[in-house]
Amino acid sequence: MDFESASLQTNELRIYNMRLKCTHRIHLLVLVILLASCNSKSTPLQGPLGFKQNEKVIFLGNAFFENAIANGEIETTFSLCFPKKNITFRNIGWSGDNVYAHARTRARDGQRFGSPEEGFGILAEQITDLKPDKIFIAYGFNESFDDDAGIEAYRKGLNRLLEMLGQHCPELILISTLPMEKGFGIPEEHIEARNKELKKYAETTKEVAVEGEYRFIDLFAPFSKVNKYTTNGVHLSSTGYRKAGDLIAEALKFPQLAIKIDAKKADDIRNAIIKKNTLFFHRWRPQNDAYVYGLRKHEQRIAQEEPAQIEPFIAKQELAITSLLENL
Amino acid sequence: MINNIKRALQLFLCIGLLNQTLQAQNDLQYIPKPDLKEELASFSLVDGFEINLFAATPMMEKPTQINFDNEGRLWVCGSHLYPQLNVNEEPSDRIVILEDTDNDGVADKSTIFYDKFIMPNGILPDNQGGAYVASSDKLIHLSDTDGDGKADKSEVLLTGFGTEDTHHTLHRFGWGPGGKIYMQQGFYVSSNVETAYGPRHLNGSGIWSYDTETRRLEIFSKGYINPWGHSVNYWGQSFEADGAGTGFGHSFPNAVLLTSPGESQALPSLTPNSPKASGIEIISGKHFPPSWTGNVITNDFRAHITDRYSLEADGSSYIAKLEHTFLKSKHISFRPVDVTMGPDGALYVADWYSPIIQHGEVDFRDQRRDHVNGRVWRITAKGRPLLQKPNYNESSIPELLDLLKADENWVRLLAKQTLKTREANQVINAIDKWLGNLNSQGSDYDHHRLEALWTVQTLNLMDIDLLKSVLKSKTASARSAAVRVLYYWNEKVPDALVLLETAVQDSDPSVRREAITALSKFRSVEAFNTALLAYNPNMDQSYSFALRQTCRILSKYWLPSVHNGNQKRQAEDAALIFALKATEDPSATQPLIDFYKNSKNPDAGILTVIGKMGEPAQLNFLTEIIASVKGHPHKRDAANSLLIAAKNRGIFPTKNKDKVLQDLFTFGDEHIQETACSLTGYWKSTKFIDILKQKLSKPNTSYAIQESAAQALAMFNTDDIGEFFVQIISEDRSITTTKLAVAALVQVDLDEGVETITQLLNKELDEETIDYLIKTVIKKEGAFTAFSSALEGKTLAAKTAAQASRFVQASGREGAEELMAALAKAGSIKTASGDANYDRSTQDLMTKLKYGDAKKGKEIYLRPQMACTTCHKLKGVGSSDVGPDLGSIGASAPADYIIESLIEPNKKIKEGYKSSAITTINGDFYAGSIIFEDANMIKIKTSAGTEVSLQKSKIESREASKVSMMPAGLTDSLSESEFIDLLKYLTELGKSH
Repeated sequence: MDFESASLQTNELRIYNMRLKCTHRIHLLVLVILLASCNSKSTPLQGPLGFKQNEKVIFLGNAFFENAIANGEIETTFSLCFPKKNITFRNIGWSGDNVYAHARTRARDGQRFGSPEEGFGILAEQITDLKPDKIFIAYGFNESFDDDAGIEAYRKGLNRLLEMLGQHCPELILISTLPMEKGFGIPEEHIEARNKELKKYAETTKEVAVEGEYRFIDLFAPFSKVNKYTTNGVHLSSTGYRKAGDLIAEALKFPQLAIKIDAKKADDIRNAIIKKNTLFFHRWRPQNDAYVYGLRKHEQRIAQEEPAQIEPFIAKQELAITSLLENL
Repeated sequence: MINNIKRALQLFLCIGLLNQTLQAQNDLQYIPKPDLKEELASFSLVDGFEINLFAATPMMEKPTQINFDNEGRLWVCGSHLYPQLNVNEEPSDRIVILEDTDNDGVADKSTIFYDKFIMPNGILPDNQGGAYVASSDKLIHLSDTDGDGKADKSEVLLTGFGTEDTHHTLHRFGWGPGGKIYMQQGFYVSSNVETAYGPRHLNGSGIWSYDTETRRLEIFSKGYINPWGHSVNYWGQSFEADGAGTGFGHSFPNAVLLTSPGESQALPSLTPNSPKASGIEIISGKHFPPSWTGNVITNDFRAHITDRYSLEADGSSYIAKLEHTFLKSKHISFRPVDVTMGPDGALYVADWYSPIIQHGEVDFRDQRRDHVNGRVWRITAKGRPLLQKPNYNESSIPELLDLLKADENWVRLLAKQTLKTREANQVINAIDKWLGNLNSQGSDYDHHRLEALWTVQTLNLMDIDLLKSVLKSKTASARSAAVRVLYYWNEKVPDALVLLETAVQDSDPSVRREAITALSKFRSVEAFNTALLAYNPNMDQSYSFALRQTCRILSKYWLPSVHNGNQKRQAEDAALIFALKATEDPSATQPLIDFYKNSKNPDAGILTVIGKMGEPAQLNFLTEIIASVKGHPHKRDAANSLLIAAKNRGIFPTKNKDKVLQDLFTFGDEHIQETACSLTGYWKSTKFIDILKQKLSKPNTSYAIQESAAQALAMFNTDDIGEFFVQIISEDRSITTTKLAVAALVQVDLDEGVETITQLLNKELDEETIDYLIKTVIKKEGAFTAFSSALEGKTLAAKTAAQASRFVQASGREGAEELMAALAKAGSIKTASGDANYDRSTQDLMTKLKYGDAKKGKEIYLRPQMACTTCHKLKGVGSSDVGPDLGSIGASAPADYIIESLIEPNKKIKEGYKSSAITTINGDFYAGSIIFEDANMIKIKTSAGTEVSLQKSKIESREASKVSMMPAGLTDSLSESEFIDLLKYLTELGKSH
């Protein structure tokens, strides 16, 4: 049994079963039974997470992932852990988003903006197109403002999201909410109250992970200890993202980084990653979106043509990253 | 050094591009050279003022906003990338700081502070060497930590602002009097911003307020099309210019101006017939003549004009009056987009400089766009001394406090901003002393104390005693501003509700309006009851709107207490009735019915609410009014309300239907008879079929009743009804009766119906009748195809066929082309396109434009057969809103755009005028533009210009039209010189006032 298949779990197997030829099927079914018997119901899925060659990873969530585009830290850590795997990363975090994908609704048409439900459909379409092998999911921050009363809705929404994502992707990894940091002119009583809620939402995410047998990464506890990782109390700084990358790699028992994270070559890789992610951002969330998808579509042909013209530049940038990683 | 090389390179590139641009435009001959002297010479200015160039490219970027800091430096944000970043292009838009170091009124130093932005549309210096910037989806703070005058730190404060339309993204920053940053966004964007206080969602336009101290972001007000400019007057009231709407308006918390997604009501701007306006400043200070103080300056950027309005308090809001044109240019690239007063008391106008504005109507990559030039012009009053700039940073705290007495709005603002950088305790102690030394008899005493209160607010501190004392000011505007502070401090003020109880009963309506709004921040029934004290039957629009908003915001607290009987109420409680109506909540219907029942002098408006929201059992209350009370004064309201329920929601009463119809038919006047016919149809009351038949066939019945009867009969949809129509048609009655019967027949028997239409079209018919018959076909599902088949092998008069074809096209429905072909064949006519009497090449027409005669063009425009005025208004004058107002089309659209719009309307559909075709489950059909939509209802402005509200659950099909509501070929009958005259006329509209 090689490293990759050891990490396969029941929920992935359902899908892999369908994809693989019959000869593999019996072999895998045995594995299912073996692994199912190892699972405990009080902890989320454990054990190292491995990557096969050429996998595609999606980062999905709110501003936790969207802001990561600007510093490339998490992705650099991942790349340096698996430099030869040629992994493709797509960051589709969206500020203000929640498990219902409300922020992803399309541009307005007349007096109307896309309905919240449209956002969920658009996300499903995008996931179908991207065909990811793994999705890292970070939600809960925006939902947590509904306080205790919103916890069950969050659980339900998260489960629905996971069910949809599970139809397109074999491995879903949940990431907890982060605590708020003190300072930044924000009243202390507000921060205390928020942290109580954020902790509950982190726990709920964990419960969902246990129930659905997903991997879960707790960032709440480790980020509660020191108060120096955010830019505004709620969003991570570059240092914060580097720390988050370390914590994720540690939790998933990734191999050692190929080179030090602060090495010159790591900087080159990080810059290449940032550029690639910025290009991708303009590809899937182009400015003037109203002329690409919305009411003003008929007004501008160019608006609809240009975003697709970014794709060769993304591909070129991917090649640059691969080459940097191969020549470490 | 690197920056210099870059700049040189950029300039080089720019010059290259410019040459290309000019060459490409040679044919068009109307792109002027960006010559500064020529532009300066093109200005005409009102007497007593002069204009000079303050700065131009390459010292600055194409400006989107200009803002002075407390050192008198002008910060310019702008964009050469607009309207869209090129594929794989690095962001390179700049923030530039301009300085006039020798005080000669001309900038002599320029520093690129930062140069990696994508279309920054807002800039606000922090007065500590840094600035806040609106950068696409982000709010960014730039700082210069090493003091070299360039940004070396860029901190992202907030992310998630919408970018769907690059001139609607986050823009226009300014400090409020209490130290918050106010920022705007436009109509097409949807923002989802994550903050430490929760996610903030804003769909469409609005003002955001951002507190730099606590990092709290809130929605201040919503609405306008694309608010692009915000200024605060002497007393802290907000005025916003609307870059895509009409002029400017007055905004306050919870206000909704013009339109906003999901809002069913909104306030108008203060200048409803004015053109679009960008940038706004309120004149203050000693350099301008005293009579100008408090005037509003805003830019009609499409017409190359800077306007002046006087402003006068009116009730709880203001009245604006357009004064003599302030500044006007003949130069088509002069685009004044921002305006601000400067440290010397002069007025500074930012000139975007481009013959092309906006990016919807003209190609993103159109060569005529100017990506290079930008200017700032400076306007001074002749013979009046310029002002000395205070040295804020070197002033002591008491000196800064004394600056709060300045006449100049910006001096007081910058003094407060500078005080924010000082030790807070020292400032607070100094304020106490300063207040003690004020002359209580001085005319500005109340304002000085208000400034002290705003200073405390700016420091992010609270002073309840000072607040209470300013609330007791003699000057109403000071009280009103103090209530606004209370709005922000809300529940943190211990006896806030007591203070507000006094304020809602103030003698001045603007104080009461502020108090009503402040109460929306208090989450209790008590706050609601306090707000109701402000109700009176003669409330002005803004006041009434504020109360409506507070009632709605607090409804989750008070509406349950109405339902469980805890809300105290009197029989004639007009205030509570107002509140219940304001909620637009179906659960408010029953309490309203109870009010109606128990009142001696009941409010007929309640009956309308029942029709809009009531359940069937509640509709029985309406039938009871009609059936059981003879000659009830509200009979007409009740009948109308029943019809609203039936037509828009498909909801019917369960009792007394026949009695109601009997009564209405027996005693009702014309209008009621008409309503009764419709009700008979919707209710399918077979007992009254014969009455309907009589109404249609009797010679002397009015048209409205006849039509209503015919449509009602068609709703029965039975064979004998069809036979009845056929019989009526065969009797060869008046054309009106026949036409109505044919239209009704189409509803019950499509094949027979279209056959009779074909026959009827062979008669000599007027345009109105043809229109009616075609609309009948449009309304019916599948009728286009049936009608096309019926026309096969038939012949029609060419004129009839052409007219019918035009109406078919205007419908924009699927299958229109097929039917138009069938009509063309039957009428042996050439299709509309290619039939013009002139060469339709845009370039050719452009070169001939200079020979056009606008006066003759106007006559052509007004010809009834041209039908221009049937759909378009000119500056608000006219009877129909079907198409866009053309009052300033010449100033806003280039001539080639107008040519294409005339010849091929489908290629250029103006935003907001795309038509939709809606069929309800009752078979009603509406074609027009959707002007409001939420989860439950839709409001459509039909091509006839009327507004109809429809319940979404009652909509059967809905098609967005790909074609313009404007028929093609309208200008085909013109000769070339007539076309050129018309074009000339249109291109001149809006170019002067």
